[in-house]
Amino acid sequence: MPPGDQQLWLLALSGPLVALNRKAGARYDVPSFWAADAGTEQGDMLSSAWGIEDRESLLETVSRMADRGHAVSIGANYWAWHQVLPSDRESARAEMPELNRLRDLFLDRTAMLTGTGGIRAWDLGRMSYLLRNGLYLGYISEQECQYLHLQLGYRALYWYRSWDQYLCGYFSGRMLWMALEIESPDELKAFLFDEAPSWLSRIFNDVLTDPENPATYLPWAMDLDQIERPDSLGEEGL
Amino acid sequence: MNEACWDVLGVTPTADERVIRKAYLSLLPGVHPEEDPEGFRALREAYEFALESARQNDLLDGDVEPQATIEDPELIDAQRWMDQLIAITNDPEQRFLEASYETILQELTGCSLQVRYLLAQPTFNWALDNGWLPNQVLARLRDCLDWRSLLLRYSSEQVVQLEGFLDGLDAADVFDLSTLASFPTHAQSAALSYFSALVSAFGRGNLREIDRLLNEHGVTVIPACRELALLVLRCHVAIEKPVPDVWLSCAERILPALASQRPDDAAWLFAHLHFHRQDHAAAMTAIRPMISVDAAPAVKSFVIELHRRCGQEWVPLWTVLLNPDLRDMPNAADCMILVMSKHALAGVDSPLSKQVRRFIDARLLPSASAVIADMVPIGDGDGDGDALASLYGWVRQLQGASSFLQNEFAHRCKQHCGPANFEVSFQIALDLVEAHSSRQKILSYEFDELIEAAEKGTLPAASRSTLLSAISRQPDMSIEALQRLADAAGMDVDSANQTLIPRTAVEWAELRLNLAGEHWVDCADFPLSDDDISDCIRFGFLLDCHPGCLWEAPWRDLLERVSHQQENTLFRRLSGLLLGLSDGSKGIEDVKEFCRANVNLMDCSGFSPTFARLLCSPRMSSILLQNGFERELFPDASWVPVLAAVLGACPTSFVDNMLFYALLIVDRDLGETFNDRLAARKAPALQRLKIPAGVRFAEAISMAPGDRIKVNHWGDGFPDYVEGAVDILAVLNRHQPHEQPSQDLVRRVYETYAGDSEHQEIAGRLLCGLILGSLRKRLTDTREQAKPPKDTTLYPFWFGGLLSRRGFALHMLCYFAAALAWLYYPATPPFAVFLLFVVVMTAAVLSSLVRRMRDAGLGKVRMVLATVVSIAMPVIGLVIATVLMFKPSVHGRSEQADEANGLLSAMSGYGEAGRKP
Repeated sequence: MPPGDQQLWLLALSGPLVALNRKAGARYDVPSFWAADAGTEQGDMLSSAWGIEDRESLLETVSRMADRGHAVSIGANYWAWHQVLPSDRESARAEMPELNRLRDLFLDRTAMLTGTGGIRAWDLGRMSYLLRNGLYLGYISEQECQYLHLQLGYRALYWYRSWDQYLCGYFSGRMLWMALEIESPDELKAFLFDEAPSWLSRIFNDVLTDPENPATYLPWAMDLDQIERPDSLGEEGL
Repeated sequence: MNEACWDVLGVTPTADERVIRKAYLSLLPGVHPEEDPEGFRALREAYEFALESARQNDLLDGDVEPQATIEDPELIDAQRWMDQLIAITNDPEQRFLEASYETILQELTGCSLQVRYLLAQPTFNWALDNGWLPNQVLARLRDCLDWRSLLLRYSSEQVVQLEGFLDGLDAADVFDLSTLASFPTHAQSAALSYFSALVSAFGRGNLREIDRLLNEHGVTVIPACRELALLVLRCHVAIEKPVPDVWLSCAERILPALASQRPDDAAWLFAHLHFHRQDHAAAMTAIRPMISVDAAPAVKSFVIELHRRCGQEWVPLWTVLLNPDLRDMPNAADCMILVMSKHALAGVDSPLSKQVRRFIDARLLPSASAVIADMVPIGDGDGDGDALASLYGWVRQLQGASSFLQNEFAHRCKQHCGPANFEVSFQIALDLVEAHSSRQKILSYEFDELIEAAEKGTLPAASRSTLLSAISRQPDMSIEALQRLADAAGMDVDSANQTLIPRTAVEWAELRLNLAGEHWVDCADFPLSDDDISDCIRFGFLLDCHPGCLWEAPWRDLLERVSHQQENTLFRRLSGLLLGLSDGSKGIEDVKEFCRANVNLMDCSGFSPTFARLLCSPRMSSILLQNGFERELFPDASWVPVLAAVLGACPTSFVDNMLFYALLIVDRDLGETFNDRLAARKAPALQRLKIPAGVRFAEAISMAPGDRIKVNHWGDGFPDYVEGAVDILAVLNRHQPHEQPSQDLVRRVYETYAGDSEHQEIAGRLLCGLILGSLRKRLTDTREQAKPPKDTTLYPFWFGGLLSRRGFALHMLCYFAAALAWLYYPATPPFAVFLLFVVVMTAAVLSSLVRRMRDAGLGKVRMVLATVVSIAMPVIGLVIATVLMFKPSVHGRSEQADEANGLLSAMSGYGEAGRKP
């Protein structure tokens, strides 16, 4: 049975990651992320890149990211951006170390695009990706995956007002995450403020224009129907 | 703890508080709160429990000696002080005034330790329940009564909260509480609890709670406090929802006060409020004072986002306007904006949107960027110049979709292009964007609507020329209606011509420009007067006269007057330069500096053609030649701006880039490194265009044969750097094969310098520049219309492309003739038919060979010989074939004809053979 609008909308949360892995067999409309002929090795990323070997570690990682993801560790100032007046922000920035100042300048350039949600989309998108891959590897059931996606959907609707905002939040988060490893101010400045990396325009363009992406034909303001929490998930967690 | 407290204190159970206190104080130095917090806590709890039980015993057991009875003066003092505090807090007019508490706070300072000890807990409890007290009062109570020591009585979870409460007392109040003094107590309390909750929600970042408080919760009182209103407005900004009217009016009331202290903050906040109310025009008006190149990034991103929401077409322009450092590729933030804009514009079917989409594609496409980066040498590292070049490059791309925009921008630049700095141009662009939208709005009005809007004062802010232009589009306009409009716009009516009378030279010129759709106005038509001179100059009338006249009266007088103007305009500087050149006080270095600083600006303002003409005029050319062209160093890099000015070029397109590339190729005196770099850049450029190496001058300019020989002769005598230009001409010509540039110019230069052997090299250089200049104009004018070449010379399908279309037709005709001949003269021997075929083929091949030989520049004798052979051979062959064809018909014709007739009769059934049984 083909997924309904609500499920497609929830799957679109990891749309940027689908666009990134399109050639490897990723699909927008498949809950388990990969097409049937993609090969089981596609799910190995969970183990190699995330250290997720089983169901428990998957749920623990997703739960941790919900509260202590990059949005909190490196993107907390997005919320403050919308509270603080420009002059206060400038004076605060003047006292920052150089690297932080550059990151804050990047935040200045992107906060209007992301809205108060900041880079939470970066966490939400990756959480959706993890859950779909967990489904692919059999760590969680489809019902569990749907329920957990619904929780992500509520968060996304809370923080963002449009697909544009959500996608900008995702890509801003990715930029900031990649910038974490840069320790030279000159390199960081070049990365954030010089020529944009080529993947950015390519993937962003793909996400916005690919007719298979539900984000291109489904409205952002989706009225999400409640799903009963599966007993298998227990009381704890997301 | 019941009995244990006595063990901790080391005393027997007693009701004597002095004994208990003495025991506690004796043990206290042994348990430091930081080194042994548990021990300290146990001691403190034991002490307090012992005191409590002593007091209970005191009440229960009347036989115990009372230590602190109701008559106890310390207790009486404490009770009295507490009563005073409560009395003040119950007075609605006094309770928010800090001064009201001053007396009792002073009194508290003078109280004994016992009294303060007795007051600590009750006041702390009371403060927790009545947190609206002025923070400064609470903070003084906290310090004086040592509220922090009371935290030991609470659980660890409570301690965290209470510590936060105590620390928060150092901050300022939620708002100026004195502003509540005029309200009744219940309203004060409601407002206090409401705004305290709002502050709390805002501090925690609880968007839902903020939303609920702002949009669902009823508010009875809004204190006239600036900080509070600011907080509320910031809450609205944070939740990104429209601000209700009540809050907006509140903002309008308080923001002017904020603007006097922090204008940027006020503008930013106000713009955000309008932005969330979808009132983009008001938002733009609010943020406008903050916009500049040096504006905060937050402002820039706001402006770009604002335009993305209300006019996607302008987003690329604004990304450039606000980021002068932007070059070939946008950064990450701009990249996201541009991708979203392009996506949004995909649904808009207008020429401008298509243009912008293509433009964004070109900017975002890495390969296109690589081409641009490879080909464009912009400026010389000068910040302003580079920024301007980038800006104008982008702006011009956008202008390509709108002739109005182009003219408008040019006019405005002509008016303002004085200081060659970014700010001015930036302001021009801002005005341009606004004027464009205003003009579109005005032009969309019907005439009645126009008058109505003018009379109501709701006409969009626009120049009068726009109004005049709008009138010009009204064919059936009555004098009465015109008069009404004139009255509304503050202008006079020209009854005879049914139009408005311009008052100033600027209006007059703008009217002319708008109605005629021209760029320049003939100065002879203009009623020149002293008062209008400055305006004339701004429109370039001065330089529209013949360049040679500039040194003659009255233009020289005008130059002098202009050069003494206060305003630092392009024309003032140019006037000074021209005067300096005429009297010898300025030289070629000044020309170069002038060109370097202004060439981009001139091109943008539409001034380049005139200035190029000025530089190429005889007088100026002679100055250039005398000062620079005759020097050995020419052309070095410093001449590039001059050449650019001569060409009237700005590197904004492919062809222009190629021309600049050509200029650098011309430059051969910058040392080996530079030449190597040029060579490295040249090779891939040629390779990309699939231009074979070794294409020379003659092919480059595709002249008629006679002229080509002449030019070839010239080309042989040119110095090396001309060869570089020739190469680039070849590239350009191959790129635009229909162009036939340079003939007239080359001939003119040739005729001028033909007998002057001394200036052969100078002429060569001049020729090179002129060719490029002419070529640039033609190519840029026609590159849009250029179509792929029609192959009119060679027919591609036969003989490997050797035959021309005409030759092929002739060829086929001959085949057809041979077939007919065989049909009507069946007696023709097969050999004759074969020979005929050979003759036809030979004729065609020879014709092509002759064409090739002619193209290869064969000598005259050889050409004649080849032509004779090519004609003679087919003729001889034809004669032989004819003889062979007709020779056998003398005796064999009748028999063969009879046989043929018999065959036909048999087939048709009407012959004699057919009638036989």
